[in-house]
Amino acid sequence: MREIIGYHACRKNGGEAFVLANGPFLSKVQYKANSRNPSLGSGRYIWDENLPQAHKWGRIHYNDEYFVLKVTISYEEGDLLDLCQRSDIAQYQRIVEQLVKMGKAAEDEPVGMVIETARRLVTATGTNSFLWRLVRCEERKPGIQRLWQRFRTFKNPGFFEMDPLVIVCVFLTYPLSSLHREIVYPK
Amino acid sequence: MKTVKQTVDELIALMEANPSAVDKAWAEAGELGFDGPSLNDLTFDYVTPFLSTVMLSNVQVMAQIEFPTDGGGFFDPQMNSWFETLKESKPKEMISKDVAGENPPQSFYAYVHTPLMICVS
Repeated sequence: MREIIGYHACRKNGGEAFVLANGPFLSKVQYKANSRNPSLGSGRYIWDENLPQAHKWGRIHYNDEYFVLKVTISYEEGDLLDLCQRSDIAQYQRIVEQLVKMGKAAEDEPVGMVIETARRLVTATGTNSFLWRLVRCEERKPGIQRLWQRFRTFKNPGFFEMDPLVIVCVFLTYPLSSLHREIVYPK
Repeated sequence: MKTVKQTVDELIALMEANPSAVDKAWAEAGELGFDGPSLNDLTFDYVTPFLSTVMLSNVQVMAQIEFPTDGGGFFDPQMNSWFETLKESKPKEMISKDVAGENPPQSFYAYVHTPLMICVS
């Protein structure tokens, strides 16, 4: 059994017991053009090994009134589509290629849409038990400010990413009760 | 337990066996309005056309990696001028849509060309 440890910031609404029982909270996709759909579809989103990012999220989105949940996810190898690993990226690309073969412009569509298609397909065909239950991706974070900072600092435009921002999406097929959760902020 | 490859094998077989279900799932997913760069967008082709007009050429690699995320879900006001410039140049439909539309650019994309390096001493 493998493990991912991550952090999830949420509002204090409902209190500690409610958050412990129901968090990490579900982000749902919505049929609304101007909504910000969660990028990998419906699921529970966790910052992988990144407590500072959970605090940052809480400070900004919840006006400094937030809990941080530490979440431990146990999983088997096939449960996780890990888009931080080239081997799994290659598998993702196979899905894209198959969709292209079937006349879908999948190479031009967001990753979330491709994954959502797979999820809807297995649900519609009653075979969703076989699909992975976790997807991990790396977000490349700050915008122009950090870009210029790098430009000033390094002659070589390449750099080492020393502060990766990795996100794990836990699908609904992963039982909430199987996640180990504890509130680590506030103590 | 299956590997990811085995799961994808099964998924592809399912797609081939159920083309109409793929059509339906694809159409439904499309209606949800996901955004962010695609597999093709995360390449030099995506970045180069507008970089030449708004940035110095030797930061292309950084820009390829950094753009257009705004940092953990927060739209950075400092990016406004950057996107205004992009709006004028309209390098690609997706960009101009993001910039010209009501929404700020989305914060997240799956980085699907992760360049990792190992040094063996």
